[in-house]
Amino acid sequence: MTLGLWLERIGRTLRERLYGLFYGLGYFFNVLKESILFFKRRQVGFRVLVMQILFTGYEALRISAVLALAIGVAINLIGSSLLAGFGQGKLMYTLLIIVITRELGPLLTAFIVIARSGTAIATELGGMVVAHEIEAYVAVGVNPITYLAAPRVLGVVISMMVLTVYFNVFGLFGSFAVMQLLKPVAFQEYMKNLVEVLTVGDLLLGLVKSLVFGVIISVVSTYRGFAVERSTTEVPVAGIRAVGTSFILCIVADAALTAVLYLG
Amino acid sequence: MKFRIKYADRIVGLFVVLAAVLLCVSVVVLGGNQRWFARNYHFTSRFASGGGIAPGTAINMKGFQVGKIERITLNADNEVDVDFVIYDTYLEKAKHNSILELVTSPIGLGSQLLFHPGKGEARLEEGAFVPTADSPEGQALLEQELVDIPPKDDTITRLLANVNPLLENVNKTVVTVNRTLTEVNRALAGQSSGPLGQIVGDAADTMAGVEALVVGVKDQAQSVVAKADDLVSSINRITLNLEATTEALRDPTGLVPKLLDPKGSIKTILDDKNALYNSLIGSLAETQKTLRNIQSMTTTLNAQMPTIAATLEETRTAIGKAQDVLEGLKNNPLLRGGIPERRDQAPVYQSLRDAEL
Amino acid sequence: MGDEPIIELRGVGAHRGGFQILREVSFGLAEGATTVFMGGAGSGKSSLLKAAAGIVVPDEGAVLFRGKDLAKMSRAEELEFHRRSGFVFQDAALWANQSLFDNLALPLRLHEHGLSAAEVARAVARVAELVGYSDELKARPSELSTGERRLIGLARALVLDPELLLMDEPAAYLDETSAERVFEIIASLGARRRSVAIVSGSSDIAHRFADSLGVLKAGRLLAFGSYAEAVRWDDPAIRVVTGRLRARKAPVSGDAALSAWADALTGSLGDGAPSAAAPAPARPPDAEARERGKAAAPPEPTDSGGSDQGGRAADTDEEGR
Repeated sequence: MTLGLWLERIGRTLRERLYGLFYGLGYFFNVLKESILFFKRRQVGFRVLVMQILFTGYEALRISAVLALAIGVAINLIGSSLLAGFGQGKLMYTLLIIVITRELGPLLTAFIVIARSGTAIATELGGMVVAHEIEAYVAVGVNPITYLAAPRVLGVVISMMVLTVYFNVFGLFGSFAVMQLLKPVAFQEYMKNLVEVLTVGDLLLGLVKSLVFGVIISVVSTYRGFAVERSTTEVPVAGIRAVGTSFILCIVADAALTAVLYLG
Repeated sequence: MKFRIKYADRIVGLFVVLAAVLLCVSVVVLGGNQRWFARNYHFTSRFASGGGIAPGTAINMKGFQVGKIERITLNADNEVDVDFVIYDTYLEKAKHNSILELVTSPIGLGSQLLFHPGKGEARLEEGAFVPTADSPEGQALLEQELVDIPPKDDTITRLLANVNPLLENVNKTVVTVNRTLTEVNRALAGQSSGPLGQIVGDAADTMAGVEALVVGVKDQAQSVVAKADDLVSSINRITLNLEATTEALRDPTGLVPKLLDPKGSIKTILDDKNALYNSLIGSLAETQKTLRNIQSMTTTLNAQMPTIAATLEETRTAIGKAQDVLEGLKNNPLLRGGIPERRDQAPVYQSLRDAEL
Repeated sequence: MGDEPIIELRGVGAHRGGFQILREVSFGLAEGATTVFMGGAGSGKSSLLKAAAGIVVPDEGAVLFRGKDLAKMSRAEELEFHRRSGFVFQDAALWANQSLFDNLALPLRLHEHGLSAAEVARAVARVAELVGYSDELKARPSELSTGERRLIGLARALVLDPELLLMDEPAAYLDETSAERVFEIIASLGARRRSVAIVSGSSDIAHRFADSLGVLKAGRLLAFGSYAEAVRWDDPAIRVVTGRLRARKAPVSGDAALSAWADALTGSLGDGAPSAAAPAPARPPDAEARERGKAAAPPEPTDSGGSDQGGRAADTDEEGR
């Protein structure tokens, strides 16, 4: 009897997990489809998209810029003292590109966006579920995925990519400006060396990464927000889960993309 | 709050459009830099081996990249056909009688593919064949001085050119010394001879001087450039010393033969077409050459410090071994004293790096 | 249409958080009738209403709107269903990050693409007036009292003049005047042959409006029948829920103001003919409710566009957090 009960329990858990997985995948593709069709659907809120970009992108610009500047300056300092000591001063530019354009830039931007917008999206949507606002949308005939999820996904993805571009600008050029105060280098020299090392592929990789991270963050956050069922106490939990899952998935995706690049 | 919200559309528009513009500009700039919009001119060549060349390998001329390898294939004759391009900006350098030269570092510093323009007036037609420096055609062009081949001017090339023979010399020294050691061991098995010990002792002293010098070089390595002059003069003195010793050894009527006991087992060696002494002389001469090279190398110490340090270390080892042999001979005949245990010292380049950090 | 029910549930079952909230619920709502569902707390009456509105997707069984399964509808059919049905939430469920105006205008913008901004503004102003809300529509829901919010919630459900109105506890949190106003609206919907389903714990509402009555307990439909039948139900389990039901004397009366509004709305939604054609409202028959004045429907302001809500109030929007 006990064995039977156990088996039943295992079976049920497995069924529920599988269902959860399929549900999650279904949600993912649905959100993606709606996001792609976003601009074709006239009913949906363009306004939500604009506000999402304002909050996720524009308002995060300051943190992102400070971070990029600090990292850029640190690499510049290493390049001009330590690496030059080895006669490898030019390695600094490679280091700048690897850190700012390819690896750390997109990932740090993702972390900023997760911390700011991931939590915000999850808790906002969670709050809407608890207040039956989502049900009200359904009752009126609005598809919550189209109207609520898609503009947020697009907003986060666009913001991520734009922020990554600015991260590059601040990391590569802002740090140069700061370095002028500490250890002046001729701008033409700096540009020449940088352009020698920087390839369009580097830029594209950074953008692809930020695109993937943006999709992960927004889909996970909206999913977690919608997953709230009825109690207000679930709302902060949804926020925490959104952050946790987004972090892990972004790091895994980063490793996977880097591996594909270096192995492939 | 109200202000920002009111202009949300404009702020967001500017935010996104500016990023897009920046991205486009950088793509265009980088694309231009990566020659997306420039024309390349194709040529072919043939190499004996594909080692050190790969698609994408840069082709340099006087430190500028003038082209790159596009494709390599192993042909029916087991030679490597190479398709390469010369950038349009450097096309006028591609004259008749141009050659390619692959310079490979023997100590793993990679390789460099150099383009040497011909001295001809006419420009190469696209698709023309450009021989390599080591091919018969290339050799012929070089011998006829039809190629504008510069003195190896860029640092890496010069370094490669210098390090290579130096290392070979060191290597030869070590080999010679080893051979001597073997012969000495074989010949001296259980025999006695005073004078030989004496003379070899002298040589050993000289060698100890060399050893001390090299250790000195090592100690000074941290500020090696500043002390380069001292170093060079020390080396010169030692070199002179060595020369004197070598001369002494070579002189059939001098001190050396007197000191040698014509009887006994040593005689065997001497009789054996002076094998031991030839070896010794050869080995000392090699050491001398090595030291000369060191002297010439000190000028480039600054830029290529780690490599030079490694070379010095190798030299020190070689000389050390020679000293061991001579020490052994001195302690001989029965080699009772044996070859002394050598205290190993940290390689030079390590202490160099520590100093830098 | 004929005898076909406007909405029909067939063996509907639903789970939520591991609990079965509905079990094998089957019934049909007759076209033009008012049905009241009663049940204690947690009996599943709200879930039943949401299942009928297509908000809660049943795990078992099917919900049919005029014979068509909601689960098998195309997107266009689904939109049409939502256009023809309205849902009044117990807690109003207004969209907190949109102004009241936008709350009311969204269904119009969604379903009536042909309307100009001015027409939308007029329709919104009219429906707000109908439910007796006359304050600033630029405000956010959070600035309103619970009762006011519920009125706006009702207005949102009514703004498209639905054929099926589903109401969850329509009188809860309302002051007497507002409650009476809501009751008038329900009555007039009945008079206009609109189908209404009400979930309520109050037997008073059942007595006033129910053409038929359903009783729920623990997710099961214990009984379902006409009001006349319900009066005779003597199962104690049912009587506990329904209380004492009195036989009804007079037929329910409608509200002329609502009729006038609906005609005007139909005019503006239809061929875009000016709603000036809307007849002036007759004096409501139920004069008692009007005595406190505020709720009285003034003569329809013709389409002079008195309220300037047309300029999309979204500039105060704080969406996107």
